[in-house]
Amino acid sequence: MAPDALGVKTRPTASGPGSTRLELARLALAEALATNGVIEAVEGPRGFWVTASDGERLAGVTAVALPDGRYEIGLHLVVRLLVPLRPLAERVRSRIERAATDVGLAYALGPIDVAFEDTSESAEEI
Amino acid sequence: MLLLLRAIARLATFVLLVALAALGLAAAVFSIQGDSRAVSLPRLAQHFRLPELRGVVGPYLDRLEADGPTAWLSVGAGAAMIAAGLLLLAGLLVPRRERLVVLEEHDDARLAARRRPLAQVAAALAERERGVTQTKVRVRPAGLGRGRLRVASYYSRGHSPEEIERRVSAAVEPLADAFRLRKRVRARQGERGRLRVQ
Repeated sequence: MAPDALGVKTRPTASGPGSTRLELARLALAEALATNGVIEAVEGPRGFWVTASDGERLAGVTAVALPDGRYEIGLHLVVRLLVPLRPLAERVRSRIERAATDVGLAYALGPIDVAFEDTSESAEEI
Repeated sequence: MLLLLRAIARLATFVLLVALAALGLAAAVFSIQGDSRAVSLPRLAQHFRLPELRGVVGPYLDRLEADGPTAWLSVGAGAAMIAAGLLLLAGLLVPRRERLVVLEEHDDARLAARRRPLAQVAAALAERERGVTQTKVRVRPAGLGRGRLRVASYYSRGHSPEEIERRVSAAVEPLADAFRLRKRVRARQGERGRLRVQ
């Protein structure tokens, strides 16, 4: 929970343009896409891997509320061919954790699942 | 196989539910009146020709009670129906194979990859080896045991299959180890005109 101006911890609202869930999803997606080696995030063949709220649609990232109040982040990524996958996932995770700490959302950040959905074969990206 | 069973089970479920709903509706409607009036259950039985059916089934049941081909045929049909029911149950209840290959799972966080990117990475690693002209890779996620990585590498003339297998095996080993996949590498000589020559 986030401490307010008086230092009292308050539970964030569940929805709305500035909801914690949406903010975390937005932040996670931005950080993942900014990581070298990640090409794009995909919503999946049935469009399940999406976080949507109030007209905003973030493809390739899910944020699921956990019983303890945190949000589990799921990222579905297309990455460059021959990029070592484990270090890449670690870089993505650490970027998200750092960014969440910077904006004061570390308290709401739960486990970060990373799924590599595809690789890009184009020569210029290798 | 499971995919087919699942499709058949879904179709059978849909058809049976529609039939059950229609029968229930008919029974409800034909319960409006009593006796043998137009909208009564006896009239519904007549519409379904149940009295004639009793005339057919009665003698059949008599033959079934006695020893003879009818009894054995019925045993066979019953066993076949049980087997079909078990197959349909398997189609409904057996979980689909996980399409993700899990690299690691700790603190509730999972790192995983689909079969396709893994196969692409394995193929790219194998094709970097000198003499390998083309590679086909199949990734099978873990079921009860470990998952499998099958690599078939085609090589050009002037190389030995043992050498290609050893080098390709070494090339894909880090990937197989990371995802806890059992690897199997085979080398095949490329056919003239079919595969690119390096």
